[in-house]
Amino acid sequence: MTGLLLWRGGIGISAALAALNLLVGASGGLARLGLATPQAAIGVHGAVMACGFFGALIALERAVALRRLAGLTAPLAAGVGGVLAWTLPGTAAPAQAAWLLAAGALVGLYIQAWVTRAWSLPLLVELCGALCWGAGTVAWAADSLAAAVTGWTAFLVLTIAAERRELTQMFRLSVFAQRLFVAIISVPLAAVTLATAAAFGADTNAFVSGPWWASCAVLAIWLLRWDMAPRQWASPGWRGHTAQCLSIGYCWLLAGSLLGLAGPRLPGGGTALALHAVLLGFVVAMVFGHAPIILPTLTGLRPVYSGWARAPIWILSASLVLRGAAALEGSGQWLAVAGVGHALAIGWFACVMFIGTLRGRHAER
Amino acid sequence: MNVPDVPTEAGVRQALSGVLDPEIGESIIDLGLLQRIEITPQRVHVVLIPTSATCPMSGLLLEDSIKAVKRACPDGMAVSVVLDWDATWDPHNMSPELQSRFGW
Repeated sequence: MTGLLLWRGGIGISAALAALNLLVGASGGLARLGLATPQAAIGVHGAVMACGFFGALIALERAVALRRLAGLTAPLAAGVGGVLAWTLPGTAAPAQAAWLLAAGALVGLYIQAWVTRAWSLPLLVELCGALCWGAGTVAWAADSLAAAVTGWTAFLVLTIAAERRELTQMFRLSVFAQRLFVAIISVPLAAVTLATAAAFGADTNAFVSGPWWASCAVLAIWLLRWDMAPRQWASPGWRGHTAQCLSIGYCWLLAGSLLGLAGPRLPGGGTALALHAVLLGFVVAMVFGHAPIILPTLTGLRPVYSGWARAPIWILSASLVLRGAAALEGSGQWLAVAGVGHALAIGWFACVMFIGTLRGRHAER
Repeated sequence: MNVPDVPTEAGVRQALSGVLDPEIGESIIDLGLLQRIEITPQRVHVVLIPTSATCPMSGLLLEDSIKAVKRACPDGMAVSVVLDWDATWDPHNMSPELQSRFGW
């Protein structure tokens, strides 16, 4: 009984911390775009979003899948790290320590799955993703934000890529497609290694950006060609919603990668734009797409489908296009409007899921 | 619906065929996730094969499967559904129709 209470409490606290980090991290991002929102996370917006929100969410999903109480260390540490990052603006060390613990605990969860369940290529890729999270945090501790961002983004991209590769095992993939996936995945790992080495003084930075963005571009093409989501675009209900979010997300991964490759030549620099195309357009799209599947696992409640759920991904996409145009034009006013669009998309989706869950609860009674 | 005193394996299988994988949208029977069904006068025990070591949806699949099997059993009969983590899912476990659709 105590174990069950601890388990449910741990899940609830982890989810609440992730949601809090989303709110504070996103409002810090909006403040950067010139909006009058709380600024607690303005200096650590990216770190809080990548580690305190996405990291906590991924770790929570894995801990719940493996049903080990100790596994909740990973999402709890990720969530606490996020709170430490925006409550202690003078020092990043406590947040870095918490995120290192979270990444280590997530690695431990994957090793446990490997030992007690089954080894697979996707599991290895997920494990490498968790190592990238740790590498990014170590790079941040060494004052290299660029290397940290590469590590954290690789963590998210590799985790999603592994999840999708796992589902494609249902389909007969050509040997070429299988080998291409392995080749693609090895590049971000090399890029994170070189970026982390550069954070400690090695002369390797010149080899990071190009291969990293190129591998993301090829991964996007791989997913558009071989993943099941584009084939399920016209499906009804949540399945169609998931398919559309994922397919649009793959397009944003491709767009962001191309922007990243062109980055230095774009007016105002395209790296920030590329990162937001990937982290908002791709990663948030994955959150939208998987939420109806993951939410019942975490809460035991099944949201009732609503067509309103299909709008946020389009609002998010339109606001990203606007953001791109505003950044290239140097228009602060339109950047702020784009930020409002991002917030509207996320807020709208949260409302749809909340109402859908209430309706689901009512229907089950 | 008439429920027999002791359900048959075919009846349990039929009930499970209505359980869909939430992401793929196919029946768990067609996907080849059913390993075995054990039926005694007191209890139905179903063993499923997982497709992923870290699948967060396994809990949902188990819950849906238990509900489906209970509908095919008389009231009060014990029903358990578990995953066999030592078993390995193979694409050839899928139904011939699904194999054909998925390019096998």
